[in-house]
Amino acid sequence: MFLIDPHVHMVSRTTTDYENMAMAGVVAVSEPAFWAGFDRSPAAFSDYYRQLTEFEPTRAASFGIRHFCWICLNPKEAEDLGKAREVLSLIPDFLSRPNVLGVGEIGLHKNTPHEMEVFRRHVQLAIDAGAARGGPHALILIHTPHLADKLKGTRLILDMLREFGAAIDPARVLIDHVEEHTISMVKDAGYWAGMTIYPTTKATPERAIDMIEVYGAEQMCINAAADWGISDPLWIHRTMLEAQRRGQNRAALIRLFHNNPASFFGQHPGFSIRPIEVVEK
Amino acid sequence: MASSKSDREPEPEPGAPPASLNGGQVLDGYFLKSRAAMLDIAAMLDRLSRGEQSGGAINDDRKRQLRAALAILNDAEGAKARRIQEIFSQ
Repeated sequence: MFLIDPHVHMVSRTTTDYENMAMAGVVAVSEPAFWAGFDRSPAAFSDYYRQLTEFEPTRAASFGIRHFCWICLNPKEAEDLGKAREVLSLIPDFLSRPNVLGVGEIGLHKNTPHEMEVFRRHVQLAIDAGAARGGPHALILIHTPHLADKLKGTRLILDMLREFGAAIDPARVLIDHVEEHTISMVKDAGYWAGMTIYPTTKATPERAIDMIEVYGAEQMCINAAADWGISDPLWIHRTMLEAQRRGQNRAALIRLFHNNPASFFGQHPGFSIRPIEVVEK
Repeated sequence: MASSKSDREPEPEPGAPPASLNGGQVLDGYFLKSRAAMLDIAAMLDRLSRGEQSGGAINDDRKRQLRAALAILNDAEGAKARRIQEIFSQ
């Protein structure tokens, strides 16, 4: 079985994780920029973006895994607007690097006015990057807040995206970490939705497949958002097993775990992995 | 004797498609895990009661949230996961 991990923070994972993921059929990973567990200086972001665009692709390649990433200032570090301005000025140069899929994971953490301002600036960066190439806006990957802040934060994010009107194409935006109370508002608005298997704070394999059964697999991606917390990239595989246990056939599994991310990411010209077809003879 | 609301089987949310497993298969597959999850909750509530003897948490809003979520588990309505999410995420 081949699959694409649509959201994983490999900078905080071991090389053994890459090896295990390769052995478990992972052919590509998409790594959003995120919080390192502590607030960094603006200079550290330049190094971090180099790590995402230079070092991680090399580490992944030694296991036959393609590495793609997203660049942004994460919402947890968006409170200092001066720092945000400085970091955001670094982003346009990195957006043109070959393994960068777009702007992400932007979003909200505590739904503060400063986070919202930095979110809007990121969206504008994505629009400007597209305009500079004479095409649609750069792909956007959005983090929705955790736990108590999720419902309000998801609504705020949808409201802010609406402010940009026709400049934003919902088919080029993936809103991540949806759960039972936020999935329909995201899907109804035409966005891609991501579900994260991170059992303490997000979804479990069982609940994720329940949501697939209720809301369908169209424009859905499943990830584990494995990072430096208690997490595991192979939660995606446990979710695949759960789907298999409920009778989903190989074609359905390939669609959900490989072809859906390939279709969303494939809107970027540098993402050359195409959806695959399962033919049972 | 008339059955109370909580004695009735929960109704699925209107418009929700049927699950891929039938009822018996769901119980076969998930009963033990759910039993363990409920025991975890019960033990945490016992721990909380014992902990409160040492102070703290008496008026903590998280206790209200837990009680509201437990009521949903035992009511006769569907969409329990979504409704419990809405208690914990305003």
